[in-house]
Amino acid sequence: MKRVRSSVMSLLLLAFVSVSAFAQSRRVTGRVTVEGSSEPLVAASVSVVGTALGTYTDDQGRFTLNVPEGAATLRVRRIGYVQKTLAVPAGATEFNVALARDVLQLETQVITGAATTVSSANAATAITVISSEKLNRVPAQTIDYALQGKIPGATITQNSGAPGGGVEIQLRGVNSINAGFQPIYVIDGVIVDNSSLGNGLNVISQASRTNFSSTQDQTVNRAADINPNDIENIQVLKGPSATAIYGSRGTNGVIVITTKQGIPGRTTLDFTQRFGTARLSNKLLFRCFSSGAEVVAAGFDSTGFGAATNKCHDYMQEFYGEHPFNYQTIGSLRGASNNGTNYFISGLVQHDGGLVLNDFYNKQSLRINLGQKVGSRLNIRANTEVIHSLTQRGISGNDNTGINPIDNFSNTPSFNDLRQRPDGTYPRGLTVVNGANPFQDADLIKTPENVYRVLGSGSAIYNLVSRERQTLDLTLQGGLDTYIDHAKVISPATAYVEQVNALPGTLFNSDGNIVSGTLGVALQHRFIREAFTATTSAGLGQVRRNTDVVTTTGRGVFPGVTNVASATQTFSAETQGITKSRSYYVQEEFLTLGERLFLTAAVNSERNSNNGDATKFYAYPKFSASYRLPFLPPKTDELKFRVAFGRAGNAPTGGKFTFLTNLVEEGVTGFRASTVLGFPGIKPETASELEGGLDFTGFGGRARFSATQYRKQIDDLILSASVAPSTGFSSQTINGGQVVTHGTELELGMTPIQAGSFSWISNTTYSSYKGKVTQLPVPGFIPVSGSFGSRYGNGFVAQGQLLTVLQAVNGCKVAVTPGQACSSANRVLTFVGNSAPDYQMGFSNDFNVGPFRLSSLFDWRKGGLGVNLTNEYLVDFGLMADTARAREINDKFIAGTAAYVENTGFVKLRELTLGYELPAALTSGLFQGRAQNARIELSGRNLKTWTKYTGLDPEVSNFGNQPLGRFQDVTPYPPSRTFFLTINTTF
Amino acid sequence: MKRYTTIALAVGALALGACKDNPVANPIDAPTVDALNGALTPTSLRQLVVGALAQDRTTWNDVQSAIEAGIFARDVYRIDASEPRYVTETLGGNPDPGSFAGGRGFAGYYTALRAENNLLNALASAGTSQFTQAQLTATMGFVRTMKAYEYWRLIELRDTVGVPIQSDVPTEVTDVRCREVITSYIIALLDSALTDFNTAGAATVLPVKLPTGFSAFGRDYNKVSNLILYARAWRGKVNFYRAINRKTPNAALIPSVIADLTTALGAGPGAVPASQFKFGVWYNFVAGGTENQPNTIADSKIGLNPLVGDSVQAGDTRASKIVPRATLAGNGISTSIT
Repeated sequence: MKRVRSSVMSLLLLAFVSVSAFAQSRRVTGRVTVEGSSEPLVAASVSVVGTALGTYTDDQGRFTLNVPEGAATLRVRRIGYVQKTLAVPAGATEFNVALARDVLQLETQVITGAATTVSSANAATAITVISSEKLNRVPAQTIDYALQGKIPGATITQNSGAPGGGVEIQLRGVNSINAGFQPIYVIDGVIVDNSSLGNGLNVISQASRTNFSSTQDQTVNRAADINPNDIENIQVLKGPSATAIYGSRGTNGVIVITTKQGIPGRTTLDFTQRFGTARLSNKLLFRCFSSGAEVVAAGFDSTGFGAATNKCHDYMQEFYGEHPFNYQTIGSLRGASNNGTNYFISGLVQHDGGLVLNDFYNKQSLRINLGQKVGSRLNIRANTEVIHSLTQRGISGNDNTGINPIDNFSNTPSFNDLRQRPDGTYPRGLTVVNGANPFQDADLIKTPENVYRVLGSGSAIYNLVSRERQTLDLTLQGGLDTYIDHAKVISPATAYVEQVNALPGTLFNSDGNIVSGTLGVALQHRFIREAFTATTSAGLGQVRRNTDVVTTTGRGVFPGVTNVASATQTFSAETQGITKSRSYYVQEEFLTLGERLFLTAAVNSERNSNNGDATKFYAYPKFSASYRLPFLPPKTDELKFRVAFGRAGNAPTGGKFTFLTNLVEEGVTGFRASTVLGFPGIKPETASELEGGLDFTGFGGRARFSATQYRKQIDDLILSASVAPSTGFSSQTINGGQVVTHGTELELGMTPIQAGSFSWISNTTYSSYKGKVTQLPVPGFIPVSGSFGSRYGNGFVAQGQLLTVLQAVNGCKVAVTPGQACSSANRVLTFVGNSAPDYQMGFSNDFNVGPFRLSSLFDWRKGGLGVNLTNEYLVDFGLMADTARAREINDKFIAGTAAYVENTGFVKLRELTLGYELPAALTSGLFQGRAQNARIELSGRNLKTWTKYTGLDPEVSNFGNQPLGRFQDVTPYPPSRTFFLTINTTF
Repeated sequence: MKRYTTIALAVGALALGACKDNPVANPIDAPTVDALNGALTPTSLRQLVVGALAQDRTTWNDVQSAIEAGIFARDVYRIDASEPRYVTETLGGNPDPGSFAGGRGFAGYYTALRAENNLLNALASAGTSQFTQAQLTATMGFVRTMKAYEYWRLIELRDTVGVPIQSDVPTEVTDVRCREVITSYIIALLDSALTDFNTAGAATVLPVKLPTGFSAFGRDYNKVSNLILYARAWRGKVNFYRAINRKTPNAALIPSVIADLTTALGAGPGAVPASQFKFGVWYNFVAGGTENQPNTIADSKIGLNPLVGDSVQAGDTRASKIVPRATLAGNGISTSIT
């Protein structure tokens, strides 16, 4: 390591000689405009091919550039436009060019390293780029919803319909069983936290029968805090072949977010106002009873029914029938001053109501991005965002107290009117043991979760050497991500559900403090020759993360009291952690053969305090090559072949130490060694990926096709192994095993029609993967994600099987007649299929007719099994509307069939937007000439679902985000369709 | 421009200076086993002793469907899933090298043994700034007595099948040793404990306060003088069973049995009357202090032979879950003790 350090120092010493020298040159001026108009193109890059000379256009689209004497070639490009390369004859000093809009995203810069990018034309890996426009076409509560259906190779699944988020992203399949399993988010170079903290729902639902938070809290992952409107673009690095540079955080992919920056030109004020609402999009159908007598006649227990007669109530509609008034107010100011300052300031105020009274998600954010050019060599940038969100997600998911509304309704024959009486009181629930009434719970029980977050990043890029054919830049980058998550559950003793408790009245108080810091230094050297351009970069990075979550649960709380200290009985818990990592990297990129061959080699060496040996550095190399064919078939504009290999890691999140566990005897806390033996030699999981593919552009830029095939091998999985009980331990964390995943990703972009003011732009994506357990040094096991037993269905990790296989009882060793049960001894436990989809497709279409635009996005997931335990509630209590079907399910189940395992495939109309660009005259009139343009949109999200799945939504997970076995559907918060009217104006 | 160059260099050097940062992040969420050595204080010692004893009680509490009592010295006939005579038991779980049968009480006693072995290691490295040498030695004697007790319960569970003797190395799996070896090992542990007690001196008091169950017959077992009696009682009992072992009877042990038990029960002032012989140090399942539920059995029933019903203490939270049962049957065998 000393050698690496001295190399970096040597490079730094070079910087003492700050050089600026050019050969004989002439001054070329010009203007860049948008093709088909005279609209100036601001901040377009103009560079001299084969040199390091370049500049950007000003607010009039003008530029001035020193160009070497003699003939030269200028390249003009800007994100969102198709680049042009044009010859400038010797002596010419004037140069004008018009760039066409890049509707198929043919041209963009993609990330290749910590401080390097390359044109997508030369990229050697399949990196998906999502523009701000594509991301924000339809309002979404959180960023991860907005990504659904847009990234080939990504499985993005929401956990429930509750407001405020809770979405899982898996890139290229499942990459871990016990370590991190979700991609990391990097915003403006800083890794931001996406953890999920418990909100305490379990203390009243008793889903896990403890006094603390549990994995069944229906939590929100904190990517929800990111404001999609601040984003310039998102780049999705899907596998180790692209993420090796992220070291032991790269296995699960990286979502790189660049926020908007100020751009030269006049200051623009962008204002967007959205109004909307939501509707229950699917509901369970309960059996209809009109009277207690009818209930008794149907064979139900008559206890408590009395002589009550009432109409048949549609509990789902009555309870989940709120029509919230939702809104988003977004404003941003963007510009730059003449003294080199640029700025982007934006604010958001958002409210999304739930389908249930008092459920909502509120978010406010303020972002200030500032850039300053100091002299000709130093660029400084500081980005800051302050976010607050307040969420009340109500009660959903598994419960053991009858507090879940759907659990309750499945027990309650529909003739009972459970709604609030005119006098303000609520009737007791009749058939639930504690008399719980969901309407009363929704009124009385509060579950507020307040999150305060600050994201800050800063960078300084200093140009140490600037010559005609070489540059050397020093980049210093740092950032901080800190949030406080304050969650409460207030369940007063006045709620019927509390009154059966020995100590009625429950309070839960959680304070989570998460702080992550990132620091990096990089040197980047570009060496340009006629024959090649070589880019060398090297640097180091540090990441530190501190966590501290303190929770207290109080039982026996007087109604109205919200101070947990006043509880009769309290239970406290705290979890803390510190993780430190350091990495060094060096990367060489080589562009040659007329910019047709692009070669990359890099290695990242990283240590992490969670590894057994915290001082040991693990190496993560990558190699890639791409080649653009010089001789092209007919109708072909570009044809590129690419291949890449990379290795990334997945640092352990625990398992290193043998902790002491506390036990209490006679009021004295004692400690003894945990039964989980620590593994001092624990090391990161390692993912090695080989990726190959081709990229085609043809028909004059009107068609684009990309195909990628990859093989990913994950070794040294972090597993739990049983140990001999005579050692005093029950298990130990170990490294071992192997998973091999093969996958395919296809993208097809077309402009089938582009005639006058009418255009049709179509994008289709396809992806599939299969991950198989090829080695497993421990006996097969059910992953810890949670399940309700093999009779219903659970994940199972076994050698030779798919990692995402679903195991369930499905068969009986002896013949059974309908209605006859298969004894436990005769039940056949087997693998019934794959919980992962066979394939996924996304269909996006934009139709532009003059000022009108119609956009749609369909998300198709073919296959994939899930366990519909919600049905079990309806079947068990006999209140499913389709009684014959309920009987059939029950008969199958007791006969040993996997009756609750269902196909979760679906097609969803994720997004639909109809937009109208107001005529300039009207805009001018409305805004007294101050507005540049104005737009009105009508949009909807999740408007329609086509599925054979019989539950509320095929995309649910009772245990929240989980690497495996997330398919448990237990009385979730129902899905909703949302509608928005958007007015956008730019001043 | 040189100014900026200097700034850039200073910042770069600052970043490189961060290389000095300690790469190790010590766990802060909970103490680790490693942290015990050389760091014992009176408080932490008490916590570790209570941890081992509480584990014992938890293990005992976890043995359901058994004829069980709260008295440490009572013989127990357990019929549960870890009974190795059931041929089906080996089919019930993953075979493991340490117990060819299942877990239950078996694993729990070894967890307690691990706690006690860790404690002995910690005591060996404890300095005398926090304790007197006599206190440390006395505590070692107490821990060895408890180890002897765990092994007795284990061999009582497995009988002629034998059990392993736990290694000090956490990952080391040792061979299964036969009953005779184990009982000899138990006696060796008790002899060693008695040596510790005698070295510490009868007047020494343990630097920790034991649970209230260590107060039978009006004796305070925090005092070494009484712990000597307790260890001798165990030695007498174990040697008695060695003496009458059907396979290898050893009548020569009987005089020492009589001597140990006579000493333990006492002949003069403070002697235990015959009517009290059936009592002794006991597990306290009565809620106290901040402990709300010393009995963790949620809804299972504990089968208790009426003959030992008198060992249930007043306020025992297990009481409502106890079903008097003179005959136990299951898995193909049954037993009646009336």
